[in-house]
Parts: sequence; structure tokens; C-alpha cells
Amino acid sequence: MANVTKIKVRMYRAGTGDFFLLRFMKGSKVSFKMMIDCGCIKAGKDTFTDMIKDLKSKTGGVIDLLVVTHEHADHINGFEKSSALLSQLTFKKVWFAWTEDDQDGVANDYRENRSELGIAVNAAVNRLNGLMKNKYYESLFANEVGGEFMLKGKRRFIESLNALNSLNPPAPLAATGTPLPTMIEKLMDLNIIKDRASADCLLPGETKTGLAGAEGIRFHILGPPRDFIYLDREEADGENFEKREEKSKIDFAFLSALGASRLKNDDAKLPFESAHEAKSSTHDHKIRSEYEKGGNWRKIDHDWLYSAGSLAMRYEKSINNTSLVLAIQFENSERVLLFPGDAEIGNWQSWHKNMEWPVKINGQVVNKNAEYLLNKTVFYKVGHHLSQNGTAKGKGIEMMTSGELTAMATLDFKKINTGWLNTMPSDLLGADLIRRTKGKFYFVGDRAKILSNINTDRVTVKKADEKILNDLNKKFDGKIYLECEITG
Amino acid sequence: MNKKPPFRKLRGYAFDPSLSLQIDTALINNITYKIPWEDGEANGKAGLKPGPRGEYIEVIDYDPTVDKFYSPVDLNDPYILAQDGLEPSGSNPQFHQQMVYAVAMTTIKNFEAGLGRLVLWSPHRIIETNTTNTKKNKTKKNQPKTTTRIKDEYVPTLRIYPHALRDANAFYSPQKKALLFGYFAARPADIKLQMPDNLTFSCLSHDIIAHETTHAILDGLHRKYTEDTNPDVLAFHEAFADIVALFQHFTFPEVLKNQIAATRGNLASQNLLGKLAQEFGIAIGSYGSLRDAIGTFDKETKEWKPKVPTGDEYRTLTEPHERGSILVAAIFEAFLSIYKRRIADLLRIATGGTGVLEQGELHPDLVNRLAAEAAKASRHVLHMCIRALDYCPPVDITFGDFLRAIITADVDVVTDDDRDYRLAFVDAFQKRGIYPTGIKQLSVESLTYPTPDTSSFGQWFRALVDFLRDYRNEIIYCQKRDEIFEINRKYIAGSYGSEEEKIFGLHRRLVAKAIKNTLGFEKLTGLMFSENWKSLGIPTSMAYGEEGPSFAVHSLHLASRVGPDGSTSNQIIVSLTQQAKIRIKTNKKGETVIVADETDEGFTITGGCTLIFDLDTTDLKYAISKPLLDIEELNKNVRQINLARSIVLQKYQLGVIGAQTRFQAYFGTGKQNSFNEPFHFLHTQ
Repeated sequence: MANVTKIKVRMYRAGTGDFFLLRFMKGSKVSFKMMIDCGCIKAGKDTFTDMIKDLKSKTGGVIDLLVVTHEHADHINGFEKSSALLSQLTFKKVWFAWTEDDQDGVANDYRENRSELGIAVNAAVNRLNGLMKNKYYESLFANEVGGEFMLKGKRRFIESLNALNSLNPPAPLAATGTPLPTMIEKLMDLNIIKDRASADCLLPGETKTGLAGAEGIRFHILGPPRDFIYLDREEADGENFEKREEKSKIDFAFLSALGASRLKNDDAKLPFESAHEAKSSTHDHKIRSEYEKGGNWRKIDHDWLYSAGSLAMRYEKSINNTSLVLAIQFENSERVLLFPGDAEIGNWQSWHKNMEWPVKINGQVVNKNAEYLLNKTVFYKVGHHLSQNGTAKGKGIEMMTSGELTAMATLDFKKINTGWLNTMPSDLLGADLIRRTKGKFYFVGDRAKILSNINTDRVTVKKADEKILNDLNKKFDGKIYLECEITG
Repeated sequence: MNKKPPFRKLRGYAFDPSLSLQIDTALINNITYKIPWEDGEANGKAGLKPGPRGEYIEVIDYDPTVDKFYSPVDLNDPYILAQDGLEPSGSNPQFHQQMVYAVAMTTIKNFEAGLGRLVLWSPHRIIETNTTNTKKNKTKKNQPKTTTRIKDEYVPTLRIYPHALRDANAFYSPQKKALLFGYFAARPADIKLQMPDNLTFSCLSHDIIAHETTHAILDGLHRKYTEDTNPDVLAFHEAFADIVALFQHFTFPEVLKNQIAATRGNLASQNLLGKLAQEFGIAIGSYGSLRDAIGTFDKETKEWKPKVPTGDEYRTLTEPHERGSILVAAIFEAFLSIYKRRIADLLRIATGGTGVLEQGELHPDLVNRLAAEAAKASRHVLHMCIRALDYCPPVDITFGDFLRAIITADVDVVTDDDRDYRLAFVDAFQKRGIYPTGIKQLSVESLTYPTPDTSSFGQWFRALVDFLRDYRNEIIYCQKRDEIFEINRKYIAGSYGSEEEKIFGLHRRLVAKAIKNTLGFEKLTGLMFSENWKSLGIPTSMAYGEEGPSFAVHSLHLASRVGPDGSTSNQIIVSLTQQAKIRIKTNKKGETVIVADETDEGFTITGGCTLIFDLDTTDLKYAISKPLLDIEELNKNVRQINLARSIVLQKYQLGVIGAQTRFQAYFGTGKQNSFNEPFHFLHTQ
């Protein structure tokens, strides 16, 4: 059987969010069709319609393999918004990360945790939105010097919190002690997956070969890691979390106050025994009126809710870290296409911890590590929309040493989260990628805008690279996709 | 008639509850705080009420997370009085209230001892709206007029909320004039260090309480230090708060002696005194205390090792707590070298002249003597730092400015530096690459601010000094904080009541015609008092019915100090600030220039100057300035905004995105917005 000779990577222009079609070619014939994710920030009902039509016409309505990387709206909301169209297609196989496996105890535990986080963030967001709606802050700051700045700060905070929250899977109403439903269940509900047996949950370290039509191709699974330590980790200096041996992964004190803890434990809800609570005796009564007397500007009724900010960020990161990471490798040339979803540092780091994948070198199967795969990478789907956290430095980009790198980034300033505006693109990463790809770098959104954000004082971008980049992207101006060919 | 007791004794933790669970520290961790006696409510005066609520602070134990008030502790209850306060306990919120009161009051009193005056909280700044003509008959001409003005309201008490958050954090809120403490479930990295999920209260940590209280005190002294105008400002706030908390450890005699004995007098080795927030640090997953002035835990071996300055830190660390720890380390090192000098003779006496201690434990007498020296040295160092605050510019402080302030303040009070304290500071700063700008070479002499020449200023200046003398006479014996606040306000803004009480305030005196176009005064302050302010982007003030460049008399106070040789000094400290709204652009000739810009495109630059008058010599002693104007151009009689400062400021505030944390990038509104809780104990990730 002939081997796949090249892969055409089509990146659809939905907005900030991933939607890819990969066509595996044997010569000029398409032998295998693969789709990765379908979502974008601020997607509307019709955002994906034309793209799905294009997908259908290019594939004949049959997709050999669908990969769903992780449960963030910017990767999956298309499945819901366009379920009517997508359910007309046939997906022969669907791959998920092991975190979606409802038979897996670790996965269930993890999704149970997430359900608590989700409820807590959601509850806090609802309360803060209520304050905003009732013009609470307007009246609170009305007479303060600098009141307009205070108001602006609160607005921005609540807006960003809402944006983060809208990314998350919808939270259940109350903590039940049961895990959130898996995405397999959700896609079955939408009739996109018609047969449970077509869905697979993959573990890191696995390698899939011999898929019909994809002969000569190895699918290496790099992440997400099995170890919570890495799932939790979001910053590079994770030294603090290295040796955690206990079960608590989240601070139940905060969660329980928002009714989000599955531990139905009053000790957690109330820090002190009720005997200590103020009664209506004189002293006790006075303290209440003292609190009120100072005026609203001194009160602290809602300040504790702002802790939801860092919680929401943690939640975002931890879901990003459940991204299924695929290294698609041509057996003969050893060249690799890397699709890391939105994996953050913890996920990247885990690939380098005692893991190896079987690869073919000169007909021999030998085990190779992540560094090898990164060295061989010739196509990189940039992680997390070109943010600093979506691409590891030393254990990531700096190992992509192939001179033939091409990159694609799903970043678009027209459709993006408020909070992300300041973190995407990372100028350092963007400039490094332009240099490493020598301009073979594609963006979903307006390249002029993205380039101007990459070109800061502290980086230098070669004019020649920039020209190549512009020329390559320009071919797709006005189209609903961008495409490149990676030869094997 | 019985005499009023000088102190109220209150039991509490010297550090935090975790040390009471360790066999080797349990004994020293439970100490008795001595708080100046505040009378009970019965006396009719403002006394200590249940809460506790006293003169400086009011503890209000409201937990908004469950909407509950906890019973306020009555420290005048005879049972509680009879046993030196409630017994330390994690499960009794009334003890938590007692603990925050004891530590906050201790911090305030230690601060006042160094400062030489009473602590005032920063005022509540509000916009007051006045509507004139509310008559029913409103003709066209007779429309009601609404005027607004900024009013500084006196804030008598700092509020303390011991259970305000469910988060591993605590902060001073400059907006609320309140300390908010959090509690959380511990998540230790190693179960051998702490019980997982243990409820951890930040309000039970001496270090956290002292740290947050210091933020509040510092805000009362320097309101503009909440503005993030250069990488040092917020870091300075954090550092100062840590410094006060650290040196407070040395005021607990039992703790000090125990640690002197444990380290055999070598305080540069691992010890409790140099560590901050141990329980907190472990509860959030570190291997030791949250911060440590002299050492750190090795990432690999998990063992403590001393921190050696590389000289790079000051250039590379930007997060306020991390950057602040550079300053803390420098100050602590200055203390250590002073301490070493002070005990050198003791060690020689104890060792027959060799100075090399024998194996084994130290003699208790030697421990006592070493402890006394350590206590003295730490007090000196802390007081040097606190005194220096009066010698800092009112805006935009850098660590280098602080070094100059320390040296200058010390030169003023201590004529004979026979123990080389100043050198110890210069050396410790130098090792960390912290240098002030604007000096040509580094020495104690060049670091001391020069005394300006005011002989050309003319009569108005003499009148000003006389006016300040009146102020001194009125305020010098005033010991009531609210009256001090009112007198300060009166002398700044003036009093325009009845004829005999009429006082033209300091502000009006500086607007008066006499000082306009006084080039010398502008050079001194770096602020604009001449015509043409509008073209520089300086707002116009219509105060006193006449147009003029807007500026503010930011603060005014009297500092009385007694030096070690008994010499006294009375100084009046005035600080002025002025703002301009500008934009930097490239003109047709390709030059970088500043233009006035009041739109949102523009940004605000603040200049400021601290003037220190010595009333014994009746003249201006120092002018410590962050100039708004370009001084070199001013020497050529050209008035323009300081371009170099503007560029640096703009680059810092609007420039580099990467210097933000992800949290700031997601939720922040940029460095120009200083109104959103800049002082979290732990920076938010």
C-alpha cells in the first residue's frame, strides 16, 4: 500500500479559535481526511456555516478522523452552533483526550473538580453581574476622587471574568459530587457522534498507526499528562507544586462559600462554631451598626468575590492543559506536524518526563523522546493563539530546530476575549516564530494588526521574513481559509 | 485614686500559630504584647470599646462570605483583663480580634517612636458638590450654580476586617482605609510540613498584620506612593512593610534571646528573625516561609541556604514583592554589619581576645548582652529607615532616593557617625547594584542632599518662613490626632471664617504674585509657578478668583527629633506636587518633543518636591525634588516639561506588555490606574 506523501493543512477563518481540515494525500489523491476542533470566540449562529459547506465539499461529507482537543468554547462551540450541518457528516472515528473517559477514575475525579470550579466561578460572576446591573459601583464611587478610575477597574475586571467564564463548559446548578458530562456524551446528544464505539480516549505515550488511508503516518499522543501536578501547573516556575501528595487540589474554603464544594461539610462553610456569632445583645448589636455607620465606601460586602479572578484563570489554564496533543509523523521522512491544542506549560513539560514513542528510522522501530519529535517538527499549530503560555520555551520552541518550519496561529483581533487582548500575541514568541519559519507563518486574523503587535521595542523582525509572510498570507485574502502543504 | 496603667497586656503569637505546634518554638511563640492603655468606654472619652475599637483602629469582625458578624471582644471585661487577654486560639474569633489589635497597635507605636509624631491615616478624598441659589424664583440670570471641590475628610480609625476574604491573601485597601485579611484551606507541598486543608488565618500572623498595617501608615505619610510610576514605587511599599515586620521581631526579648542562643550569635545564619509569614508560606505550597531576608530554600535539595546578591537583581526583578525583597535584603544586611561591629568587642571579651567562640552553647550572660546589642542595632536601623521617609520626594520614589534619604536624615540627627552606620548602608546597597541617579560619585558626602541657597528669594520667602513658624507654635503641643489634622489643613488651605481667625493658607501664599517668575524657586522645586503653564499641559486653577498654574500642597507637618547626643531638631516638612497632561511626539524636524494633550491620548506626569525647613536656623535646609520641569533648560531661562523623565515614565506605564503578569493582563486597567488595590500580600498570579 502506498504511503501518504503530503498533508494539506486548511485553517478556517472563524476568528480566535481552532477549526482545521487536514487532507492526507497520496500523490494527487486525497486518501484520508481529518478535522481538528470547531470553535471560536464570540461565535454566532452562522459563523461556521460557509466553512462547514467548504469542508463538506472538500471531503464528500465523510471525515475519517475528528479530533476534539479540549473543552473550551473557542475549540468546540461550532459543534453546537452548527450541529444541524455537522450531524449530516459522517465521522468514522473521533479522538478525545483520556480526560473525557467516564470509565477512568482519574478523569472522573478531575472532571468532578472542574465542576466545582465551574460552579464557583459561575456563582461569583452572576453576583458581580448583578452588582453591575444595579449600578452598584456607579453609586459607590460617585463622590470619590478617582471614582471614574475605580469604576473602570471594576468594569474591566467583571468583563474579563465574564469572558473567561463564557469559555468554560456550562456549569451545573449545584455541586452534586458527580463529574461533569464528558464531551463524548455532548457530541452524542448533538448527533454528531452516532456510535459510541467510534469515540476513543487516548493516553499520553500512545502511538496510533495503520489507519486506513493514512498509511505511512504515525499519530503520537504527547498529552495531556496523567499527573495532576502537570495539569495544575501553568507557570514555568512550578517548584511550589512538585511534591504535593494530598488530595486537595483546590481551596474548598472559597468554593464552599459559593455553594460549589461537593464536601457538604459545615466546618468548611463556617470557620467558627455558631456560639461565636454575634447575638442581638448590646455589644454585638453595636458592631453591626458600626459597620454600617462608616458609610458604604468602607464596607467589604463583595470584595471577597474578586478572588474568583484568579480562580477563573486557574480554571482556564487547567482546561487548556487537558488538551490532546498530537504529533503527526511521516514514517519515512520522520517529519512531524505538531498540534498541541491550547496546551500550557505543564502539559509541555510532561512530554519530557520519562516518555518515549515508537518511531521508524531506516525501517527499524526505535523509541524516541519528545525532544526528537520537536526537532523533527516542520509544522506547528501555535498553541493557545500565540500567547506566551501556550508554547514552552526551552522545552518547546527552542527545540524546533528544523530549518523547514511552517506555523499557523488562530488569532484574530476581531473576535477575541477582552482579557486576551493584552496577552496575545506574545511579541517574543511571535518574533521568534517569524524567524524560525522564515516568514512561513499564517494568521487567521488581520496580519497587519498582529504584526504591529509583535513588532515591539524589544524584538527585531527581519524585513525579508516579513515580506514572505505578507506574500504567503495575501494569497488567501478574502477567503474563508488559509492553507499550506507539508510534504512528507 | 489609682494611677492609670501604662500598658494593657495581651497574649498573642510572636509569629503565627504554626510555631506553637513545633516543640522547639512553642515556648517563645506565645508572648505577651504590651499595648499603650486605652481607657474603657465608661470614661466618656474615646476609649477602647468592644471590637476592639480604639483611637487608631477599629476591628470589625464581619465575614461577608457567610454574612455573619462575630461577637466583638471586650478587652475591658474583667475576666479578660485578669488573664492578659484571651488565650491564643485558632478557633476563637475573639482571639483573632485581639491578635490583630495587639499587633497593629504595636506596629503603630513602634512607628511613632521612630517618626517623632503621631500617625495619621490617609484622608478620604471626596468630591464635594455645592449648589448655590436654591431659590424658587429662577430667572435666566439666576440659575443655580454648582461648584465642586476636592475635600480631604479626616479618617480617625483604620478598619480591620480579620475575616474578609476566603483567599490566601490579605491587603490594605487605600480606598477603604481598611485591612482585609483572608483565610483559606492549606495546600502544603509536603504533608509532613502541615496538615492539608488546615484552615489558615492570615489575621493570626504577626508578620502579615504588621506588614499590612505598615502599608496603611506609609499611605498616610506618602499618599502618592500608590501610583505605579516606576518599577520601584510599589516595590518600595512592599519592602518597607516587610522591613517593619522583620525588625519588630527584635522587639520580642524572649524570641531574640532564643534565636541568639540558637545561632550562637550569628544572625546571618538561618533564623526565625529574618523570616516572614512561615505558616502562610507553607500553606500555599512553599517549603518554608513566604519571604526571607537572608536566605532561601534550594529548589533541588529543599535546604536553606544564604542568599548571595549577584548585583543583577535590581535590573531584572520587576514584580513588586520580588523587587522589594532586594531592598529588604539590603537593609537587613546593613543591620547585620552594624550588629557584627557592635558585638565584636563582646566576643573578644568572652573568648579571651580571640573572638572565636568555643563549641557548645553560649553563656546566658553573653546571650543577654548580644541580644541587647541586636535589639539596639535593629532599633537604630529601623528608626533610620522611618526617619528617612520625611526626606523622600512626594512622588515617584526609587530605591536610590531612599538611600539618599537615609543618609541625609541620619546626618541631620547623628552628628558623629563613629560606628559607620551610614557606610554599612552604602555598602549593602552597592552590593545589589542600587545607585541613586544624579550624583557624580558615591560617598556619604555626595549622598547627602545639599542645602540650597535661598538668599535671592526675597521678602516673600522670609514671610513664608515666619508663617511656618506660626504653624510650628500652634501644632507643637497638640497631641490629638484630629486636631493635628485640622491644623494642618488650616495652614495648607487657609481659614476664611471670621476676621480674627482669617489665615491665608500656604497654598495661597505660593500662588501670590510675589513668587511668580521666581526662577530660583522653580529651579529648586522643579515645579512651574510662571505664566505660560497652559502650553506645558499644566491645568489651570481658579482658586482665589485668579487664573494660575494648578499645584497642590500635598502635605505639611512638624517633625521633632532628638539625636543620640541629646541635640534636638525641629523641622517643618512641606511637600508640593504638580501635574501635567502631555504627549510625546516626533516633530517635523524628527526631534522628540512634548506637547500638551488633555485628551485620552495624553498621559499624566507628576512632579513633586519635599521642602525641609529647619526652624532653628530659620531657613530651607533641603529641597528634594522630582522635577516636572527640565532643570537644565530652566538654567537657560526656558521652561519646558522634563523630557527625560517623561520618556522613562511613558515607557514604563504604557510600554512593555510583557512585564505584566497574566492576571494583570487579563484583569488590569494598566499602570496609570492606581485605584485598584495595589497591595495584596501575595501577588496574584
